[in-house]
Formats: sequence, structure tokens, C-alpha cells
Amino acid sequence: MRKRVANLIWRLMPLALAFALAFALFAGTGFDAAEIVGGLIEGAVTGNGALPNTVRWAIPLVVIGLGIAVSLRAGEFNIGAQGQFLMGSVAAVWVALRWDLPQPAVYLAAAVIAIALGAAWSCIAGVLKVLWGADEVITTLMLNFVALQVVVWITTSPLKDPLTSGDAASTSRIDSSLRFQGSGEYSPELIVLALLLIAGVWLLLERSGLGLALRLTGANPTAAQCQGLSVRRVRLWSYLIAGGLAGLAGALEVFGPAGRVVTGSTPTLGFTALVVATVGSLTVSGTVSAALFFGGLQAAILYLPIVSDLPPSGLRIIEGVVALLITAQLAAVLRRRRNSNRIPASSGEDAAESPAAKGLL
Amino acid sequence: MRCSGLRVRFGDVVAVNSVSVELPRGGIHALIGQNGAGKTTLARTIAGLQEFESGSVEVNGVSIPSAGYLDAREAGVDMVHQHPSLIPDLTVAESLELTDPSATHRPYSRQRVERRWKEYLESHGVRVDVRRLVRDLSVELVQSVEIARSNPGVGGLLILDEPTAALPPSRIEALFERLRATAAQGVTVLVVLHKLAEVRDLADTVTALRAGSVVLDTTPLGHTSDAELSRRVVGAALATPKPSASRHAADASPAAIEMRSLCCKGRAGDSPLRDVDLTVKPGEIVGVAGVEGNGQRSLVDVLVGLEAPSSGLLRVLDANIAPLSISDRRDLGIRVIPFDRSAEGMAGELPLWQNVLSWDAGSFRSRKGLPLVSVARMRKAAKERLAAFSVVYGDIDQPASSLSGGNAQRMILARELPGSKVLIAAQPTRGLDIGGVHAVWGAFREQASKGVPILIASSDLDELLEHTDRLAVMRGGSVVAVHEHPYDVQAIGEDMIGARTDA
Repeated sequence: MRKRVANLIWRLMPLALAFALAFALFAGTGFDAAEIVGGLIEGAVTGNGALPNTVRWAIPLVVIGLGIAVSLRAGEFNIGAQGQFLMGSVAAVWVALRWDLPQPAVYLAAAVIAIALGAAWSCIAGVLKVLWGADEVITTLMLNFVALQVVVWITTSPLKDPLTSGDAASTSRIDSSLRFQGSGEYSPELIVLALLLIAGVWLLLERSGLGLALRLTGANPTAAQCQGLSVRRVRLWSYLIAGGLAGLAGALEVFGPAGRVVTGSTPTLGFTALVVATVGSLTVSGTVSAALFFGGLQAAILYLPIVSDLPPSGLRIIEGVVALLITAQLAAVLRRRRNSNRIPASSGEDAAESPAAKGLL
Repeated sequence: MRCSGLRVRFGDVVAVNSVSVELPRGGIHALIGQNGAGKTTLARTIAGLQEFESGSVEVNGVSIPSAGYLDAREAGVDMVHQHPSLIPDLTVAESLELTDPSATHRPYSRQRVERRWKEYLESHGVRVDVRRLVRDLSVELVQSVEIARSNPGVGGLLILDEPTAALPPSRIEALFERLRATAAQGVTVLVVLHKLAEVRDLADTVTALRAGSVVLDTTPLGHTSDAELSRRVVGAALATPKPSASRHAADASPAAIEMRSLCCKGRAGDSPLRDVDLTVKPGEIVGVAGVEGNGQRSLVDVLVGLEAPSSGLLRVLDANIAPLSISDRRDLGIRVIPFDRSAEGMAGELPLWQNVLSWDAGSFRSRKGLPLVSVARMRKAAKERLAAFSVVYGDIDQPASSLSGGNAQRMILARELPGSKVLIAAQPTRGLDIGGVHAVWGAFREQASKGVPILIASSDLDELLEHTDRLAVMRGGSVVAVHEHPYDVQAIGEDMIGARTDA
């Protein structure tokens, strides 16, 4: 019990420190810190429509964050969620605008293609890693930029809304009958879907053979290999799951609150989700709590300019400092990653798996 | 050089125990002993690279304090390590400049540095382009550069730790030439060696260590025989090993593990396998002895499936396992106790129950067609297994890394032994206390009595002599001899260090 408390404090420390640092900065530069705290609470919790907005941002964060948690549990430092998310939204908006299908078919096709495209995007890095040992931190990060270019392309040529340009360049809006509630806030459908995904990832990580394989591979790939697991295959699964969830989050964004794809609208969502997963110590419950917290922060960031003259980017400082401190806490994970990268792929791995592993994977 | 009453401890392990050695000035002196005998530790202590607990080291009348590397260099002692200490990504000249403590006080000039070391190396008879990167040089060239770099000059002491280990046989003679030339300049050379033939070829005197103590004081080589030396090195504590209980009826049955002319590239740091011939019959415990790095690790890897054989025959239980994956081999019942318990045998941060259940035993298989597993059932199965092997633990959810060495090894036995049809064990008792050792061998015996063939690679010769039915000796990636009961300890020792190469 005491260990749990200590762990919780260790996890929450970066948050506390980040807030302390940010508010010291605000106070030092002449802003009214009390007013900002008040605005934060109002924007995230107590204000009119604050909670729905918090949930609205928590949904994509939790869906993407769970995928990242799976990936990190498997020992893969996949930081390409932003790109995978964008590819998912591109797929969804394309299906919604271009394919003339009955409504359920649009949902189904968009979800399947968004998941597939996100997973494929993630798997590019995964294949490069397991076959040739390319460092996934570099490849996943770079693929984010490629995905952003794809977004720029669809928002400026094929699906362009002619009235927009620059960072605000966007695709046309999808038909409002396709939108969940068609408003800027959350919808019950999306909440139910998110809860189902949370349950699914929990079952996967804690109660499935693949989840145990992912964890064993992440904890010690050599031992996993000696146990007859195909480390390559398990690692590829982690890319597929992380990318698929990020892609699905992209589709939910299009059919939910966004209704379209805007070039510069959520440039850091995938990275915030990385912070969410790590603050949540890569557990499902932790990731959900952290997503609610950062969802609230996001809602507050958007609300704050109404009550305070603090520029919105001021609160982003908190996110940045949290990310920095988390990286310091993650030193152990990073060290393990370096060690695991040294393990050569096994010669015998291409051959068939054991029945147990076959059944699972 | 004189040291007296030297004692070095690593935690609970006494690596060097009241060692007193005196080397006469000049000449080449060899230091021999088994793995873990304390050779490298002694060499490092003399070179001021290792703290010692008690005793004293004196070179040319100057006392060297514990871990006093700079004092040692001042007194004219330097050491060439087993693994090259030059920096691969720098040029030869840059790398050498860094070894000079005063270099950092001077502004850096590439031309001056290159000229300086070019002249230095030439004066020591090493011809190399100092502008080349260290990584691009051959092993023997790097070694020549290091020997030149470490050369303390007339009256000094040069220590080399296993300089022949990294060299192909054809280059060893050139190294020896260089060392002889160095000695001829008036440098005293102390060299750690493994092979008796090399000792005979190179050294004037020999000192032998066993288990941290001097068992043969510095003796001119003319005054000792190969037989005497190998007996000292190996020790004759167990001259009459007990016959093993599993010796029954194994002789008539066909081999369960069969290797014929087996070759494999092997992993870095170990010798590749060269034409290994070895069989193990059902119920037989066969030991693999040898100086570390002579192919034992490659042998285990190729059996486990971590390395693919390049040629030869590899049959286990009448199946050609060469093309099989690790998991296919596990399905056949091939189980492994890996070399490194914590790095290969378990995932320390995961809970005990997940570590003690093996992937092929069906423990993780789905239930009722659902793709889900029952954690409660797995915890229960894990508890039963741990109890059967008397693993002491608090909570089934505690991380595996919290177990002590003996308990961790018992946990691995609890995972690997049930259902095993063939057992491959590597260093199964390394670092264990007597209770742990007893448990491991007891479990092996029980498996053998059920007809499981067991192959055990160990650097602890004593335990192999005591517990195995037959003993294969590996050297240079080959099985050079297979000894039968009753063991001739001296012959085994000679095979290990190559005293009988030409016999």
C-alpha cells in the first residue's frame, strides 16, 4: 500500500513541479496567478460546458494514449501517434466526402480504413525496425511530418474548402447527418465507444496471451526469445495496435467534434497522448485518469483567453515541462530500449511458432 | 615486482587471497590459472587499476597504493587489457594522445600530435598510418599499437591480459616476437595466458593461481613439467569422483542428442564451432568443460536455436532440429537453463507467476475458445510449480528480480524441468550457495533417472567431475576429447589448456 502511494507521488511529481514552475513564471512576468488558477478550474471543471469540453478532449487522448501504452509496454518507443492519428482522420474524411454510401456503411468503411491506414503508417516504422533495426524513435517521428504533408495536400487540393487557407486550410465539412451530435462537444456515442475501447485494451493487456507476450517482450526480449516467442512478431503487433488506435481516434475526431480535417488544428495531440500514457504509468486506469486531466487542461487552455490576458501558449508551457520531467523519469525505460535494440533478430524466428503462440497471435 | 599478502574482495567473493609473488627483473613471466582463479584481478591490482583490501605491491622498490594507477605508471607499470582500450572512432594518433595525462594541458595541434605518435610508434617498431581510424585496423595491429603505447621503457613492467585470446593462431607468433623484442629492451613482461603451449613458447617463468591463491610460485619453466602444471591449475581435490547413479544401461541405447561435424558461426565473444562430434544418450549427464570462450556458448546456442548451424548434423530425439525454430524445439521438449539467469532466463520486473510458467506448457492458452486467459488459474499453477521446487517467496505477484540467486535458479528449474525431454544447461550453479548447488544437481539427477538426456556446460570443473557420466572437453570450438569414468583429472586439465595438442 505504502509502495502504491509512493508510486503515485512519483507519478504526480512532474505535474506538481510543472504547475509550480509555470505559475512562478506567470507571477514573475506580471500575470495574476490567482486569476489563471481560477480560469483553469472554471475552464476544465466548473464553468458552463467545461466538463463536456474536458471529456471531448479526453476521448482522443485516451484512445491514442492506450495505444501508446501498449507500444511502450512492448518496449517499442513509438512516438508516431500524431502522424497515425492524422492518417486516420484523412481516411475518415475521404470516405465521408467522396464515397456515396448508406450511413452505417460509411461508418464501417471509415472506421476500417482509418484503423488500417493508422496501423499501416505505424507498421512502416515497425517493419523497418524488426527487419533492419532502424531506430523507431527516428522513423516514427519522421513519419509524423510525412503525414502532415498528406494533410496539407488534401486540405489544399482534392478535398479543399475553398474559403480556407494557411494553417486554417481545411477540407470541406462532412455531411452533418453523419456527425455524432454535430456540435463541438462530446456525444454519448463517442463516450460509449471510448469506454468499450478502454475495456478492450484492458482485456488485451491484462487478460490475453498476446498481452502477456507483449509485456514479456518489453521486459526482456532475450528471455522472451528463449521462451520461443517470436519477438519480431510481438513487436509488430505492438505497432499495429498503437497505429490502429491512433487511426481510429482520427476517425472519431472527424465524425465527432471536428467534422473536417484542418491543417493546423491539433498539432500536438499525439504527443500529449504520449505524455498521458507515461503519466498514467502505462496502465489502463492510469492512462484514463491522465487523459481526463490533460483533457481538462486542453479545455482550460481554450477557455482561458476569455477570462485572462495570458496567451494560450502560456499554459502549453505546463505540458512542455511535464513532458520534459517525464522524459527524465523515463530514463530506465530508455535504457532498456537501448539494451533491447542490441539483441539481434533470431535466425530461427521465421519458422513456425508453437501451437500456443499460434493460437494467440 | 613484489607483492605480499595481497587480498582483493568483490562483495562476498574473495578474488585474490593473500597472494605473495615476486618477479625477478627482466624476462617474460607467465601467469596461468582457470577462469575465475584471479589472474586478471591480480594483474589489475599490480597495475593500480584495482582496489585491494590488505597487503602491498612494490615495483622497483616503489610502493603502489590501492587503485593507484598514476602511481603505478610513475613507477613504470602499464597494462594491455584483454579488450582493446583504444577508441574505435578516433584516429590512432588522437587515441594515443588521450592516454597521455598531460595532453589536456596543451593546445591541440593535429600535425604535432600525428608527428609525435608517428615517431613514437616507429621507434617501437610499429608501422601504421596514425591518421587511420582505430576501427579500421586489424586486431593484431591495434594490439601492437597498445603494446607500444603501454611500453614503460627500460626497467619497467608491462602487463598483458590474455593477449592471445583475440588473435588467430597464425598471428600469435608475431605477437610473441614483439614481446620478446620488448623484453630484450630491458622491460619486464608479465603475461596472462591460458594455453600451456604458449607459455612454453614464450615465457621464462610461470606462476599459477587457483581459486585466488598461488599454487605454483614463480618457477623457471625448465623446472616443471606440463603434467605438473596442469595438475596445479586444475587441482586434484577430486581425484576419485563418485560414479553417477544414472549410469545404468545407457550404453546400449541410441543417442538422444547427436552432433556430427557440426559447425556454426557462433556469437561474438565465443569461438565458432568447428566440426563438433558429441552424443548424449537417454538418461546420461554429459558435461562440457573447457576454458571459457572455447565454443561452449556457441554449442548451447546452436542446440537452443539461437544460432543456426552452418554445416553438419544436429539430431535430437531422432529429429533433425537444425531447421526448427526455438518454439518448435521447445515443443519437442528441449529445455534450457541459460548462461545468464537474469539477462536471459527471466523478466525481472514481471511478477513471479508470469516468469515461472513457460509459454509452451499451455499455461497461457485460451479457455473455451475465448482469446482470453485466466490469471487466477495461472497464479494457482505458478504457486504449485514454485512449491514443487521449494522456491521461497513472499507474494506470487512480487517481481522475479526480488528473488535471490538460488531461488531465481530454482524458479527457472521449476519452469524448464516439468515436461522436459532433453535438457541443456549452461553454468547452472554459477553464483549459488551450497544449498542452491545441491538443489540444482538433485533436480538434474531426478530428470536423468527419468531418461532425460542432459548436456551441461560449466566452467566449474569440480562439479562436472563429481556429477557427470561423461565429460567432453572443448578447445578452439571443437570437442577435443570425451573422457569416461573414472576420470583422469590430469588428462582433462591437459586437454583444456592444450598441453596434449600434439599427443
